[in-house]
Amino acid sequence: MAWNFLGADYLLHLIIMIGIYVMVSASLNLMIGYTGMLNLGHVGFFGIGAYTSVLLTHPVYGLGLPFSVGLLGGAAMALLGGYFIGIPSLKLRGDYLAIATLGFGEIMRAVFKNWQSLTRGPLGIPAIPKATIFGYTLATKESMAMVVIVATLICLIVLWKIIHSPFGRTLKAIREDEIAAISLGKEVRRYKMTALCISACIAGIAGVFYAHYISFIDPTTFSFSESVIFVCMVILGGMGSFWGSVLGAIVIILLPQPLRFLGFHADIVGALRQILFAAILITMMLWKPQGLISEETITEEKETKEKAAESGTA
Amino acid sequence: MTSILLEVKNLRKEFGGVIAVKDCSFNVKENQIIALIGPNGAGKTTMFNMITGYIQPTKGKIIYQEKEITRYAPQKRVKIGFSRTFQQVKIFQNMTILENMLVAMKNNEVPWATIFSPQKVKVQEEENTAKAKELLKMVKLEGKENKLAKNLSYGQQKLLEIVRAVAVECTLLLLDEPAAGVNLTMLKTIKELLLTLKKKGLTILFIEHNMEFVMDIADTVVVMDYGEEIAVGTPKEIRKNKRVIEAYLGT
Amino acid sequence: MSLIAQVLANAIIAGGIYAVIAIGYSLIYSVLKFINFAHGEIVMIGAFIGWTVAVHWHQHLFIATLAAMICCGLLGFLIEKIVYKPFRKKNKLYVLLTAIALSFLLQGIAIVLFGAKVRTFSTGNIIKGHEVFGAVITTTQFIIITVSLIFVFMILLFIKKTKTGKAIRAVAENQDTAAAVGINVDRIISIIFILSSMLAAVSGILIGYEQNINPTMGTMIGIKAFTAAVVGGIGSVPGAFLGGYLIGFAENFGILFVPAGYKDAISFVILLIMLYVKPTGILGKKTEEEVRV
Repeated sequence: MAWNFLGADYLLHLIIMIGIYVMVSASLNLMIGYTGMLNLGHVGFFGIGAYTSVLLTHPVYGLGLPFSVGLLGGAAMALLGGYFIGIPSLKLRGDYLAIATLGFGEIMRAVFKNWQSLTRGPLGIPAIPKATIFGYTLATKESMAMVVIVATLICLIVLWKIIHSPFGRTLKAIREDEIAAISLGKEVRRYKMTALCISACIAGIAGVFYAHYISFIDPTTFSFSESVIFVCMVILGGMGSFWGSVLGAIVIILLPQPLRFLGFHADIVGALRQILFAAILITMMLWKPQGLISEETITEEKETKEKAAESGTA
Repeated sequence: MTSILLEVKNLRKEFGGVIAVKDCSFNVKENQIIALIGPNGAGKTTMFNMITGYIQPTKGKIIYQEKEITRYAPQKRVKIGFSRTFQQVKIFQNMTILENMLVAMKNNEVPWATIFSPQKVKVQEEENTAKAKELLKMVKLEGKENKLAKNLSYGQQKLLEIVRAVAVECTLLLLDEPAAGVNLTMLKTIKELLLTLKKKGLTILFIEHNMEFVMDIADTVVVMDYGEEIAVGTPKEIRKNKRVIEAYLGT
Repeated sequence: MSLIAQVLANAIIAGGIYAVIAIGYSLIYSVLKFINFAHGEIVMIGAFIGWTVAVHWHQHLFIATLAAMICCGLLGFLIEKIVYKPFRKKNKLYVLLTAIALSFLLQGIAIVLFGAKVRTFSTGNIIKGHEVFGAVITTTQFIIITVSLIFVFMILLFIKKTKTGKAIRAVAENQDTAAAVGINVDRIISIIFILSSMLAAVSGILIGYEQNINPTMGTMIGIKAFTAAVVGGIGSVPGAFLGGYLIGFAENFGILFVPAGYKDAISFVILLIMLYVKPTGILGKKTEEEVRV
């Protein structure tokens, strides 16, 4: 295997990161792809989850509570954050909504940076305790990877169920034509709010895992550019395509990996990564805005299969 | 005597000084088909949008089942029995025909319905699908359930929009130009559909330019011109009405 | 008293710079109805070109400004033609995402070219300030205030009085009608991009003289100026002017009440409040979409 020379540790690291980012991109897809709301501040929820959990569990800078409390707290706070940002911004559409969410993300970053008595500001919070599950500490990468995979799968199943429920169908209807959805008696704002809260909650969970895995967080991790990368994953995979958002996250994590081995300075690697993502996004928008796995091909495939079945029986 | 379902009382709408609807009043009786006609710019669409709640009137009242609903939001009107279509077809283009229908129906729409009570959802979906297929049959769209709505012809999209509005389980069906841009066969289908719906007890109010269509199926015709109702009566009466002829021929 | 005067001076300086950038956002929005997210990066590039010519090549500041304006104008022109034009009449979400990606791209390229290092225009000499009503203002700051005001009024006059300005307003009102009466819409759009980008270049250099410059400066400045444009009423040039000063004042006076670290957040809080209360901004017109069903 080509991966062998890179080491099992590195491979596990990639698996964990992919798991975390799949949660983020699948949750963001619920907003962008299924409900048609462009969210440019998703990193805000990710950050709320991370900081909340760290502050609840950290033995020195926090309350020293168990990881499970941190996980629940992080998810709950992110959900709450979604609710609060939803109140002013959900009456907005299109680019206005995008800007409002962007503003939210930036406000959150300012809070992380400036509420120094709580977050230590730009210094960040180091030595974040490892995650524990049923009293067992996930000290090794293997155990962490296992738990992240399970958590990711649970999130994906929940999202799958939601998307394939009557509720999810109405979300799609809202994306397709909001006014028509209203004409069918749908309380559009409530649906959007629910989608936003679910999306925020899952992003918060991803943030919790991120913090406890990387074991250090500071405000720079939760910048606007991270939100753009999140959006990039959804677009690349395919807006409104369930497996697309999974694929998008995998590609976005793996693609820039070779840059690490070119021996550039860290700043340049960051810049090259940025150029790469930007180029992907522009290319996709220009030539394949529906993404790698488009929603349509799925439905059309189903259709042609049915047609084939029909003609087969006839 | 049939009772009055909807009452429009002195409804007025001004758009920054321009009067679009000028103190217009008429009644919609239960279980009737009412046509709202008039030359272009007569204020029909504005009137329609005020009745359905998409535009707030400047003055006047809308009374439905003896209750004032002038300031109700569109969604709230759906809850008390309204359902509408649009002049420019508004269907969910990237969803299948069946999905279009199912969205309109009563569902358990809590996000975790499929997680905690999958069996109930399944039963409900099956019932709704059966109902939807029945409705689709009425407009000859059966067998196309899994087609994406955008792949339908314009006329078919229009039919879909109408049956989707019917799927909402309404008392008052409001159609904005149901016959516009539709070929003769489909026109016949729409006529039959509306008459069947009337038999089932629905009240239907629609805007239309196609006079033949109006005269064929309407019980009552309301004629608007310059934002006012200038005549109300049966198709026969309207055909003979001098003011109506003047309005249409112009001066 | 002198504190208030000093804060007032800072507010006017910041407000002027925001106003010049915000006008660019508003102009482009007025015609193409999308947020040119990459505008902040044009500001950054303008600053770097100015720095290269003035500091690195030791040329006169006037030449540096001119060079920055020409290069940025050209860049704006090319960006519109190559990247944005294919998106006209397509989904607005796509072009917004493309603009964000473009801003990302330009920033990345700037980091590769110039390094992430912070640069400065200043010569290292301590500039003596003048005292005005108890506030200390340096000559450069005077220049910043004047130059930004001159440019703002020039652009206002240009839009109001010239034939091209009238054509711009016509295109903003309705592209199809404008085209029908013989206005070359493509040309007008190009002019708008060139003009906005030149303004961005000027503001980039002004910022360079007031603060340090670095390749990531564009994002924050861009978002704030954009906030100014939205608060003032996006699509309206006087609105952008008003919004620019409003944000400048709010930020500088705001830090009298909240910790200085929250300075950046102030404009976003204003943005959220504004979007909640009146999404079209102070001077913005109601869009057709909202009225029509």
